[in-house]
Amino acid sequence: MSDRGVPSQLDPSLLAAQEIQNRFISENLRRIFLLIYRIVRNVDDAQDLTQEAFIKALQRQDQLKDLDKATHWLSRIASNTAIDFLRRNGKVNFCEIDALIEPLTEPTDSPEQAVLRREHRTHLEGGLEVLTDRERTALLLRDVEGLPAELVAEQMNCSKATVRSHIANARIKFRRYLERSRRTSGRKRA
Amino acid sequence: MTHPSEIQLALLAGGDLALWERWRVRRHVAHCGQCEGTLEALRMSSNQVRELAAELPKDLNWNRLAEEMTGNIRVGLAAGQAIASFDKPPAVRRPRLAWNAGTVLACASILFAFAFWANIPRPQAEHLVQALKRIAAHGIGNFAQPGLRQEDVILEASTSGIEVKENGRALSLMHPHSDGATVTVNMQGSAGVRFIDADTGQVTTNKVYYAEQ
Repeated sequence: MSDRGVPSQLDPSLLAAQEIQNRFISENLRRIFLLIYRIVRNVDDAQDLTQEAFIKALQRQDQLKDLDKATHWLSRIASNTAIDFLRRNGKVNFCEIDALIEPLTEPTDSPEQAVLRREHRTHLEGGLEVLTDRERTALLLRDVEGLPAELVAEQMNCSKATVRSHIANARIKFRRYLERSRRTSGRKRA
Repeated sequence: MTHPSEIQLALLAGGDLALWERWRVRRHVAHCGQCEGTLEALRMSSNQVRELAAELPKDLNWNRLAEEMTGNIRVGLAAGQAIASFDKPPAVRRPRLAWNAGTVLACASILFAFAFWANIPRPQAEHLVQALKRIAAHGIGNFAQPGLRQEDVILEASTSGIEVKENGRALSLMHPHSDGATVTVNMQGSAGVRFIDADTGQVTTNKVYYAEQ
Protein backbone atom coordinates (compact mmCIF):
# COMPACT_ATOMS: atom_id res chain seq x y z
CA MET A 1 0.00 0.00 0.00
CA SER A 2 1.22 3.51 -0.54
CA ASP A 3 0.61 6.76 1.30
CA ARG A 4 -0.80 9.95 -0.15
CA GLY A 5 -1.12 8.72 -3.71
CA VAL A 6 2.53 7.70 -4.16
CA PRO A 7 2.46 4.79 -6.58
CA SER A 8 3.31 1.54 -4.83
CA GLN A 9 6.13 0.90 -7.35
CA LEU A 10 7.98 3.90 -5.96
CA ASP A 11 7.53 3.10 -2.29
CA PRO A 12 11.14 2.66 -1.05
CA SER A 13 10.27 0.03 1.55
CA LEU A 14 8.38 -1.99 -1.04
CA LEU A 15 11.23 -1.66 -3.49
CA ALA A 16 13.66 -2.91 -0.84
CA ALA A 17 11.39 -5.85 -0.02
CA GLN A 18 11.09 -6.66 -3.71
CA GLU A 19 14.87 -6.53 -4.05
CA ILE A 20 15.29 -8.98 -1.14
CA GLN A 21 12.66 -11.24 -2.67
CA ASN A 22 14.37 -11.27 -6.06
CA ARG A 23 17.75 -12.01 -4.52
CA PHE A 24 16.26 -14.76 -2.40
CA ILE A 25 14.69 -16.38 -5.45
CA SER A 26 17.75 -16.14 -7.69
CA GLU A 27 20.14 -17.42 -5.01
CA ASN A 28 18.07 -20.44 -4.07
CA LEU A 29 16.07 -21.38 -7.14
CA ARG A 30 18.52 -23.88 -8.64
CA ARG A 31 19.32 -25.56 -5.33
CA ILE A 32 15.66 -25.96 -4.39
CA PHE A 33 14.66 -27.14 -7.84
CA LEU A 34 17.40 -29.78 -7.77
CA LEU A 35 16.47 -30.94 -4.28
CA ILE A 36 12.85 -31.36 -5.28
CA TYR A 37 13.73 -32.87 -8.65
CA ARG A 38 15.93 -35.52 -7.01
CA ILE A 39 13.07 -36.44 -4.70
CA VAL A 40 10.21 -36.52 -7.22
CA ARG A 41 12.38 -37.39 -10.30
CA ASN A 42 10.27 -35.44 -12.76
CA VAL A 43 10.94 -31.98 -14.22
CA ASP A 44 7.28 -30.96 -14.53
CA ASP A 45 6.44 -31.88 -10.95
CA ALA A 46 9.70 -30.40 -9.68
CA GLN A 47 8.88 -27.12 -11.41
CA ASP A 48 5.40 -26.93 -9.90
CA LEU A 49 6.61 -27.90 -6.45
CA THR A 50 9.54 -25.45 -6.55
CA GLN A 51 7.16 -22.63 -7.38
CA GLU A 52 4.82 -23.76 -4.63
CA ALA A 53 7.65 -23.89 -2.10
CA PHE A 54 8.86 -20.38 -2.97
CA ILE A 55 5.35 -18.92 -2.86
CA LYS A 56 4.77 -20.53 0.54
CA ALA A 57 8.07 -19.15 1.83
CA LEU A 58 7.71 -15.66 0.39
CA GLN A 59 4.19 -15.22 1.67
CA ARG A 60 5.80 -14.98 5.11
CA GLN A 61 7.92 -11.88 4.55
CA ASP A 62 8.89 -11.68 8.22
CA GLN A 63 10.89 -14.89 7.82
CA LEU A 64 13.16 -13.22 5.28
CA LYS A 65 14.80 -10.87 7.76
CA ASP A 66 17.54 -13.37 8.48
CA LEU A 67 18.47 -14.71 5.05
CA ASP A 68 20.63 -17.50 6.46
CA LYS A 69 17.76 -18.89 8.53
CA ALA A 70 15.39 -18.26 5.64
CA THR A 71 17.52 -20.50 3.41
CA HIS A 72 17.21 -23.43 5.84
CA TRP A 73 13.57 -22.69 6.29
CA LEU A 74 13.07 -22.74 2.51
CA SER A 75 14.86 -26.11 2.23
CA ARG A 76 12.54 -27.46 4.84
CA ILE A 77 9.46 -26.18 3.05
CA ALA A 78 10.79 -27.59 -0.24
CA SER A 79 11.49 -31.07 1.11
CA ASN A 80 8.15 -31.13 2.93
CA THR A 81 6.36 -30.07 -0.22
CA ALA A 82 8.10 -32.82 -2.20
CA ILE A 83 7.46 -35.46 0.48
CA ASP A 84 3.80 -34.45 0.67
CA PHE A 85 3.60 -34.75 -3.08
CA LEU A 86 5.03 -38.28 -2.98
CA ARG A 87 2.58 -39.20 -0.22
CA ARG A 88 -0.37 -37.82 -2.17
CA ASN A 89 0.59 -39.47 -5.44
CA GLY A 90 2.03 -42.71 -4.24
CA LYS A 91 4.18 -43.04 -7.33
CA VAL A 92 5.74 -40.31 -9.42
CA ASN A 93 4.77 -39.83 -13.02
CA PHE A 94 7.72 -40.04 -15.38
CA CYS A 95 6.43 -38.16 -18.38
CA GLU A 96 9.04 -35.93 -19.99
CA ILE A 97 8.74 -32.24 -20.55
CA ASP A 98 9.00 -31.36 -24.25
CA ALA A 99 8.67 -27.62 -24.31
CA LEU A 100 11.74 -26.92 -22.23
CA ILE A 101 14.04 -29.45 -23.77
CA GLU A 102 16.76 -28.03 -25.94
CA PRO A 103 19.91 -29.66 -27.24
CA LEU A 104 22.50 -29.43 -24.47
CA THR A 105 25.47 -27.41 -25.59
CA GLU A 106 28.32 -26.99 -23.19
CA PRO A 107 30.99 -24.94 -24.93
CA THR A 108 33.68 -25.91 -22.42
CA ASP A 109 33.30 -29.62 -23.23
CA SER A 110 34.51 -31.25 -26.41
CA PRO A 111 31.91 -33.51 -28.09
CA GLU A 112 33.66 -36.55 -26.62
CA GLN A 113 33.74 -35.04 -23.14
CA ALA A 114 30.10 -34.08 -23.42
CA VAL A 115 29.16 -37.65 -24.32
CA LEU A 116 31.24 -39.08 -21.48
CA ARG A 117 29.80 -36.59 -19.04
CA ARG A 118 26.27 -37.40 -20.10
CA GLU A 119 26.95 -41.12 -19.80
CA HIS A 120 28.42 -40.68 -16.35
CA ARG A 121 25.42 -38.69 -15.21
CA THR A 122 22.96 -41.18 -16.64
CA HIS A 123 24.90 -43.89 -14.91
CA LEU A 124 24.73 -42.10 -11.54
CA GLU A 125 21.06 -41.31 -11.97
CA GLY A 126 20.47 -45.01 -12.44
CA GLY A 127 21.86 -45.44 -8.92
CA LEU A 128 19.18 -43.20 -7.48
CA GLU A 129 16.53 -45.09 -9.43
CA VAL A 130 17.24 -48.28 -7.51
CA LEU A 131 16.34 -46.60 -4.22
CA THR A 132 12.83 -46.42 -2.82
CA ASP A 133 11.24 -42.96 -2.50
CA ARG A 134 11.87 -42.91 1.24
CA GLU A 135 15.47 -44.09 0.93
CA ARG A 136 16.22 -41.53 -1.76
CA THR A 137 14.57 -38.70 0.18
CA ALA A 138 16.43 -39.60 3.38
CA LEU A 139 19.75 -39.86 1.52
CA LEU A 140 19.29 -36.52 -0.25
CA LEU A 141 18.27 -34.68 2.90
CA ARG A 142 21.15 -36.18 4.88
CA ASP A 143 24.01 -36.28 2.37
CA VAL A 144 23.14 -33.45 0.01
CA GLU A 145 21.26 -30.99 2.20
CA GLY A 146 23.40 -31.94 5.22
CA LEU A 147 20.48 -32.13 7.64
CA PRO A 148 21.12 -34.15 10.84
CA ALA A 149 19.24 -37.45 11.08
CA GLU A 150 16.90 -35.98 13.74
CA LEU A 151 15.72 -33.27 11.36
CA VAL A 152 15.39 -35.72 8.48
CA ALA A 153 13.23 -37.89 10.74
CA GLU A 154 11.12 -34.88 11.68
CA GLN A 155 10.63 -33.90 8.06
CA MET A 156 9.83 -37.42 6.95
CA ASN A 157 7.53 -37.88 9.91
CA CYS A 158 9.18 -41.07 11.15
CA SER A 159 11.57 -42.16 13.90
CA LYS A 160 15.30 -41.46 13.89
CA ALA A 161 16.02 -45.21 13.85
CA THR A 162 13.90 -45.63 10.71
CA VAL A 163 15.68 -42.73 9.04
CA ARG A 164 19.10 -44.17 9.93
CA SER A 165 18.00 -47.46 8.44
CA HIS A 166 16.81 -45.71 5.22
CA ILE A 167 20.08 -43.77 4.97
CA ALA A 168 22.25 -46.86 5.52
CA ASN A 169 20.24 -48.94 3.04
CA ALA A 170 20.40 -46.15 0.47
CA ARG A 171 24.19 -45.82 0.79
CA ILE A 172 24.67 -49.59 0.52
CA LYS A 173 22.33 -49.93 -2.49
CA PHE A 174 23.97 -47.01 -4.28
CA ARG A 175 27.45 -48.40 -3.64
CA ARG A 176 26.42 -51.88 -4.86
CA TYR A 177 24.88 -50.35 -7.96
CA LEU A 178 28.11 -48.51 -8.74
CA GLU A 179 30.19 -51.67 -8.20
CA ARG A 180 27.86 -53.74 -10.35
CA SER A 181 27.92 -51.24 -13.20
CA ARG A 182 31.71 -50.92 -12.94
CA ARG A 183 32.04 -54.69 -13.27
CA THR A 184 29.64 -54.74 -16.22
CA SER A 185 31.45 -51.96 -18.06
CA GLY A 186 34.81 -53.69 -17.35
CA ARG A 187 33.47 -56.89 -18.90
CA LYS A 188 32.19 -54.97 -21.96
CA ARG A 189 35.60 -53.37 -22.48
CA ALA A 190 37.32 -56.75 -22.14
CA MET B 1 37.60 -61.35 14.04
CA THR B 2 34.02 -60.09 13.82
CA HIS B 3 33.57 -57.51 11.13
CA PRO B 4 31.09 -54.66 11.63
CA SER B 5 27.94 -54.97 9.56
CA GLU B 6 27.63 -53.14 6.25
CA ILE B 7 24.91 -51.00 7.82
CA GLN B 8 27.32 -49.90 10.53
CA LEU B 9 29.92 -49.03 7.91
CA ALA B 10 27.33 -47.15 5.85
CA LEU B 11 26.35 -45.11 8.89
CA LEU B 12 30.00 -44.49 9.80
CA ALA B 13 30.63 -43.21 6.26
CA GLY B 14 28.18 -40.36 6.83
CA GLY B 15 29.00 -39.77 10.52
CA ASP B 16 25.68 -41.21 11.66
CA LEU B 17 26.91 -43.69 14.27
CA ALA B 18 26.58 -43.06 17.98
CA LEU B 19 29.77 -42.07 19.80
CA TRP B 20 30.64 -45.42 21.38
CA GLU B 21 29.72 -47.46 18.31
CA ARG B 22 31.64 -45.07 16.09
CA TRP B 23 34.78 -45.50 18.19
CA ARG B 24 34.42 -49.29 18.16
CA VAL B 25 33.88 -49.54 14.36
CA ARG B 26 36.67 -47.06 13.63
CA ARG B 27 39.06 -49.09 15.77
CA HIS B 28 38.18 -52.20 13.76
CA VAL B 29 38.44 -50.43 10.40
CA ALA B 30 41.89 -49.12 11.31
CA HIS B 31 43.13 -52.74 11.43
CA CYS B 32 40.96 -54.34 8.72
CA GLY B 33 41.76 -53.67 5.08
CA GLN B 34 38.54 -55.26 3.85
CA CYS B 35 36.29 -53.02 5.97
CA GLU B 36 38.45 -50.01 5.19
CA GLY B 37 37.87 -50.66 1.48
CA THR B 38 34.12 -50.98 1.98
CA LEU B 39 34.06 -47.77 4.00
CA GLU B 40 36.04 -45.94 1.35
CA ALA B 41 33.66 -47.17 -1.36
CA LEU B 42 30.66 -45.99 0.68
CA ARG B 43 32.24 -42.59 1.18
CA MET B 44 32.91 -42.32 -2.54
CA SER B 45 29.36 -43.23 -3.38
CA SER B 46 28.09 -40.53 -0.98
CA ASN B 47 30.30 -38.02 -2.76
CA GLN B 48 28.91 -39.14 -6.08
CA VAL B 49 25.36 -38.65 -4.82
CA ARG B 50 26.34 -35.09 -3.88
CA GLU B 51 27.92 -34.58 -7.27
CA LEU B 52 24.86 -35.93 -9.02
CA ALA B 53 22.49 -33.84 -6.94
CA ALA B 54 24.25 -30.67 -8.08
CA GLU B 55 23.75 -31.57 -11.74
CA LEU B 56 20.72 -30.40 -13.64
CA PRO B 57 18.62 -33.02 -15.44
CA LYS B 58 20.01 -33.79 -18.86
CA ASP B 59 18.77 -31.75 -21.83
CA LEU B 60 17.18 -29.18 -19.59
CA ASN B 61 17.39 -25.53 -20.55
CA TRP B 62 17.85 -24.13 -17.09
CA ASN B 63 17.77 -20.46 -18.03
CA ARG B 64 14.37 -20.77 -19.62
CA LEU B 65 13.04 -22.87 -16.79
CA ALA B 66 14.39 -20.47 -14.17
CA GLU B 67 12.81 -17.50 -15.92
CA GLU B 68 9.51 -19.30 -16.18
CA MET B 69 9.55 -20.34 -12.52
CA THR B 70 10.54 -16.84 -11.35
CA GLY B 71 7.69 -15.37 -13.37
CA ASN B 72 5.23 -17.92 -12.01
CA ILE B 73 6.39 -17.30 -8.43
CA ARG B 74 5.79 -13.54 -8.85
CA VAL B 75 2.36 -14.15 -10.35
CA GLY B 76 1.54 -16.56 -7.52
CA LEU B 77 2.60 -14.03 -4.90
CA ALA B 78 0.61 -11.24 -6.55
CA ALA B 79 -2.45 -13.49 -6.76
CA GLY B 80 -2.03 -14.43 -3.12
CA GLN B 81 -1.88 -10.77 -2.12
CA ALA B 82 -4.93 -9.94 -4.22
CA ILE B 83 -6.91 -12.79 -2.67
CA ALA B 84 -5.76 -11.82 0.81
CA SER B 85 -6.87 -8.21 0.35
CA PHE B 86 -10.16 -9.37 -1.16
CA ASP B 87 -10.85 -11.74 1.73
CA LYS B 88 -9.78 -9.26 4.36
CA PRO B 89 -12.84 -7.91 6.22
CA PRO B 90 -13.29 -4.15 5.82
CA ALA B 91 -11.65 -2.18 8.57
CA VAL B 92 -14.20 -1.60 11.32
CA ARG B 93 -14.42 2.07 12.24
CA ARG B 94 -14.50 2.44 15.95
CA PRO B 95 -17.61 4.27 17.11
CA ARG B 96 -16.31 7.72 17.85
CA LEU B 97 -19.77 8.90 18.97
CA ALA B 98 -19.31 7.44 22.44
CA TRP B 99 -16.04 9.30 22.92
CA ASN B 100 -17.53 12.55 21.64
CA ALA B 101 -20.59 12.24 23.85
CA GLY B 102 -18.39 11.49 26.85
CA THR B 103 -16.23 14.54 26.19
CA VAL B 104 -19.26 16.82 25.84
CA LEU B 105 -20.76 15.42 29.05
CA ALA B 106 -17.54 15.92 30.99
CA CYS B 107 -17.21 19.53 29.74
CA ALA B 108 -20.86 20.26 30.62
CA SER B 109 -20.36 18.83 34.12
CA ILE B 110 -17.28 20.97 34.71
CA LEU B 111 -19.13 24.07 33.45
CA PHE B 112 -22.13 23.33 35.67
CA ALA B 113 -19.94 22.76 38.74
CA PHE B 114 -18.09 26.02 38.11
CA ALA B 115 -21.33 28.00 37.62
CA PHE B 116 -22.85 26.47 40.77
CA TRP B 117 -19.74 27.29 42.81
CA ALA B 118 -19.61 30.87 41.50
CA ASN B 119 -23.29 31.52 42.27
CA ILE B 120 -23.63 30.31 45.86
CA PRO B 121 -22.88 32.85 48.66
CA ARG B 122 -19.41 32.64 50.22
CA PRO B 123 -20.48 31.46 53.75
CA GLN B 124 -22.55 28.70 52.22
CA ALA B 125 -19.67 27.75 49.98
CA GLU B 126 -17.41 27.47 53.01
CA HIS B 127 -20.08 25.49 54.83
CA LEU B 128 -20.38 23.19 51.85
CA VAL B 129 -16.61 22.67 51.78
CA GLN B 130 -16.65 21.85 55.50
CA ALA B 131 -19.55 19.45 55.02
CA LEU B 132 -17.79 17.74 52.14
CA LYS B 133 -14.61 17.44 54.20
CA ARG B 134 -16.61 15.90 57.05
CA ILE B 135 -18.22 13.47 54.61
CA ALA B 136 -14.80 12.59 53.22
CA ALA B 137 -13.44 12.03 56.74
CA HIS B 138 -16.35 10.23 58.40
CA GLY B 139 -18.64 9.14 55.60
CA ILE B 140 -22.32 9.85 55.11
CA GLY B 141 -24.60 8.99 58.07
CA ASN B 142 -22.00 9.25 60.80
CA PHE B 143 -22.93 12.15 62.94
CA ALA B 144 -19.77 12.41 64.97
CA GLN B 145 -18.60 15.98 64.99
CA PRO B 146 -15.48 16.11 67.11
CA GLY B 147 -14.64 19.61 65.94
CA LEU B 148 -17.84 21.23 67.34
CA ARG B 149 -17.38 24.00 69.82
CA GLN B 150 -19.73 25.02 72.65
CA GLU B 151 -20.97 28.17 70.86
CA ASP B 152 -21.71 26.39 67.57
CA VAL B 153 -25.36 26.07 66.55
CA ILE B 154 -26.70 22.67 65.61
CA LEU B 155 -29.96 22.25 63.81
CA GLU B 156 -31.16 18.67 63.81
CA ALA B 157 -34.23 17.13 62.23
CA SER B 158 -35.51 13.61 62.59
CA THR B 159 -38.84 11.80 62.23
CA SER B 160 -39.57 12.46 65.92
CA GLY B 161 -38.86 16.20 65.95
CA ILE B 162 -36.67 19.21 65.17
CA GLU B 163 -34.06 20.48 67.62
CA VAL B 164 -31.86 23.59 67.76
CA LYS B 165 -28.82 23.46 70.07
CA GLU B 166 -26.81 26.51 71.02
CA ASN B 167 -24.57 27.32 73.98
CA GLY B 168 -25.48 24.07 75.71
CA ARG B 169 -29.20 24.76 75.47
CA ALA B 170 -31.70 23.06 73.21
CA LEU B 171 -35.10 23.95 71.74
CA SER B 172 -37.12 20.96 70.49
CA LEU B 173 -40.26 20.86 68.42
CA MET B 174 -41.68 17.38 68.88
CA HIS B 175 -44.39 15.77 66.82
CA PRO B 176 -46.19 12.43 66.99
CA HIS B 177 -44.20 9.62 65.49
CA SER B 178 -45.26 8.82 61.97
CA ASP B 179 -43.90 6.29 59.55
CA GLY B 180 -44.60 8.58 56.63
CA ALA B 181 -42.68 11.61 57.95
CA THR B 182 -40.47 13.43 55.44
CA VAL B 183 -37.47 15.31 56.81
CA THR B 184 -35.91 18.17 54.82
CA VAL B 185 -32.76 20.10 55.68
CA ASN B 186 -31.83 23.32 53.90
CA MET B 187 -28.30 24.59 53.52
CA GLN B 188 -29.52 28.12 54.32
CA GLY B 189 -30.25 27.10 57.93
CA SER B 190 -33.69 25.56 58.04
CA ALA B 191 -35.05 22.10 58.82
CA GLY B 192 -38.58 20.79 58.30
CA VAL B 193 -40.65 17.71 58.88
CA ARG B 194 -43.82 16.87 56.98
CA PHE B 195 -46.05 14.13 58.29
CA ILE B 196 -49.59 12.76 57.95
CA ASP B 197 -51.75 11.85 60.94
CA ALA B 198 -52.70 8.20 60.61
CA ASP B 199 -56.17 8.71 62.23
CA THR B 200 -57.37 11.97 60.73
CA GLY B 201 -55.31 12.13 57.53
CA GLN B 202 -54.28 15.67 58.44
CA VAL B 203 -51.01 16.84 56.85
CA THR B 204 -48.71 18.84 59.18
CA THR B 205 -45.53 20.65 58.14
CA ASN B 206 -43.14 21.97 60.81
CA LYS B 207 -40.30 24.16 59.64
CA VAL B 208 -37.63 25.74 61.86
CA TYR B 209 -35.40 28.50 60.53
CA TYR B 210 -32.19 29.56 62.17
CA ALA B 211 -31.13 33.13 61.57
CA GLU B 212 -27.78 34.44 62.74
CA GLN B 213 -28.02 37.76 64.56
